Order: sequence, then C-alpha cells, then structure tokens
Amino acid sequence: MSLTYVNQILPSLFSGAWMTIRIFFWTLVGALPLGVLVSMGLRSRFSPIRWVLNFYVWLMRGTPLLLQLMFVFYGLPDVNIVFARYPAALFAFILNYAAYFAEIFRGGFAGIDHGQYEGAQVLGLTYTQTLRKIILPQVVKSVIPAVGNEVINLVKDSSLVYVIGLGDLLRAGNVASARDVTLVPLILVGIIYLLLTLVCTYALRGLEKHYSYYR
Amino acid sequence: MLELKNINKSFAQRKILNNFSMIVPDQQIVSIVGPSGAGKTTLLRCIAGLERPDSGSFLLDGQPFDPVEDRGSERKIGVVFQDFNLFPNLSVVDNIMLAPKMVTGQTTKQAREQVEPLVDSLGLTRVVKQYPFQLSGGQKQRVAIARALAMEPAILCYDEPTSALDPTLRDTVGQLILDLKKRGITQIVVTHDQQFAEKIADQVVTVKPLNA
Repeated sequence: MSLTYVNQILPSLFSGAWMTIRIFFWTLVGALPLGVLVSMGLRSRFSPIRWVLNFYVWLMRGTPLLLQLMFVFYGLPDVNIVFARYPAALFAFILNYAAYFAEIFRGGFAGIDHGQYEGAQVLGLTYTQTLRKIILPQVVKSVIPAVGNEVINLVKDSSLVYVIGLGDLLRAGNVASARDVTLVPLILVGIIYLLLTLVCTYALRGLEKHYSYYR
Repeated sequence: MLELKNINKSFAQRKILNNFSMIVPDQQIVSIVGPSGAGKTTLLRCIAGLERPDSGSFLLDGQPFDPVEDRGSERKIGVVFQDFNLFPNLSVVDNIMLAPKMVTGQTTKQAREQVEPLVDSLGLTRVVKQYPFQLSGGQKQRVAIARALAMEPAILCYDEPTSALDPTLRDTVGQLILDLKKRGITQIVVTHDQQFAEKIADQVVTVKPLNA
C-alpha cells in the first residue's frame, strides 16, 4: 500500500465521506423530531390517526430502504413528483428512519409510569408542560441505547444512495478500486467507516453519561 | 369546607362508591379508612379530579366545585400519592419549584424565596440539590408534601401515607400531618390503618366494600 497512492485517492474518498456525513446529519435532524411526532400519533386516542401511522410504519419497516430510494427517485416522477438526487435521498432516509425512531419512542413513552402524568396534573401543569418538562426528558434518556443502534446503522445505510447515483464514501472507494484494480481504496473506506462509527459511539456514550445524573 | 354529596362511581358495572357523602371542615383532618377494595383510593381520585364520578356533587366553601376542571394556578386540591410520583429527572428543589414556575408563572428567584421556608420546615434543606433516587422513603414523602404545599392548595390529600414507609416512620408522618394542621392546612388522609387514622384525625370516615 504505497503512501503516494493513498494520498492520491484520499481527496476523492473524503469528498465521498462528506456526502455520507451530510446524509447522516440531515437524516437525523429530520427523522428524530418526526419520529417523536409519529410516536405521539401512534398513541393518539383518535383511531384513524393511529391506523394511518401504523400503516406508514409498516410500509417503511416492511420494505427495503434500497427499494424506497429507487421508488422516490425513479418512481415518483411518474406522478409528477420530481426530486433531484440529493433531496430524494434525504426524503427517503428521513421517512424510513422516522418510522424506526417512532417505534423506539413509542416504547419509551409506554415505559413512563402513568403516575408521572398524574403527579403533574394535580400540580396544575398543562399536558404540554408535562410533556416538555417531565415526560420527554425521561423518554429521551430511556431511548438513547436503542436510538444509538439506529444511528450507527444510519452511518452504514447511507451507502445505499449509490443506487440513485449519488457519490458517497463507498462509491468513491468502489470507483477507485475498479479503476486501479486494487483493494486498497476499499480498505481505506472500511477504516473511514470505522472512524465515523467510533465518533458516533463516543458521542452516544457522552449523551448517556450526561443523562446519568438521575435514575 | 369541602362537601361531597351523593357521589357514585362504578368501574365496568362494579359499583365502587354508592351515594357517598361527607363534609371536610376547614383546618381539620378527615381520615378515610376501610379495607382494600373499599373504594378509598377511588374516592380520593375523585376529589383530586383524576376520576370523574358518575354522579353527585362537590361544594367548596358553599360554591359548586368540579375537581376535574380544577386546573392551573387556581387549583384547590393538592395530592401526596402513595408512591409520591416525584419527577426523577428533577432535583428536589426543582420538583418543588416546577409548578410555582410553570403554573403560577413565578421567576426562579421568586419561587426560590417562596419555597425556602417550606423546605426548611420540612427538614429538606440538606437535600435540595439531590435527586429523588438518592432520598429515603420518608424524605421522598416530605418532598411530595412540599411540592403540593408550594401551590398553596385549600385541601391536601394523602393516599396511604404510611404504606411506603417503614413502621418507625409511621409516627413521624403522623406528627408531620398534625403539625401541618396547626399551620391551618385542611387535610384528607386515606389509609387502611385504623389506629393511625384515629390518632391523627378529627373525624374518621369508614368505607366498606360494596357487594355487587
């Protein structure tokens, strides 16, 4: 593995990694809040809302993300919804990950003792205040390990965007590997993925630690 | 003075409260006793607005009163739950100041000044910065009492105040309830402990399980 060669291909791998990071970051920014909203809807007293959201979760978890990407980019234009490649990828990733997050958060909400709501009610707090100050902080703490799993998955799932022609980390490595007939780029790709997930792992640990001041 | 008139409550055809009436005079302690399943807790939950009775009425100081609509800063009924329902994510002082800040709209400084004497008088000064999981049962209960009193309720209700404590603390909480009475606080105490009830209460109301 000559150092010159590594230096030669690193810029293209880094630019691919930058695409991976952008997709990762914006998917989390979109999917986490959406997941919280959907999880609340899944617990709604209004059954049509529950029905629609359960269908959405089933659809998103029940089909491959790869298929969803293809459908959004190649299929939706047939009904005059045209996305450019990058927004198409974000759209599919956010919808897909929000469904997983929704199920995780639903479990988190279900794990909160009903007495917490009653404790707040008899103090005169509104439902929104109760959610914001008491319920959500506890839910967030309880779901960190499960959300962390999905976050790590997302780093790697982002490689699926090759299917709609986006140049991410894995694709950059693939291109170099095919062109130069060597596995070196793919090894480097593996190392970069490992570094990315390492950063995530530490960030998640930090978050768990941050919330460990109470039990 | 709180008056309950002909309160009825059933769960799935099982009658829990049948034409229940009672009067809670100001600055007195009324104890509600009876075996498990007699409807004591249901009665307390109706008074606290956590359950809506099927029928019957409440009068507070002679005015019609609906516990379920008893909301916001004007809320009249405070509750100390059997397992306290403290908020684990908030420190002791934040548990106590949450409602004064969120509901009454006090600043942190105002709330701190208001709750300080309360915290002192309940012997919680040393634990204000701790979290509920670090407290003993008796301390948790006093936090729950302080949290309820911070909203200056007309009536403070307790659900089984002795059950989550070890027996030696029974007399301590009894004394605490009597101390609060001296400060002019009207209290309703639900308990299965007849002895305890007789020791603290001005009036003991006995409820019996209804045969369906």
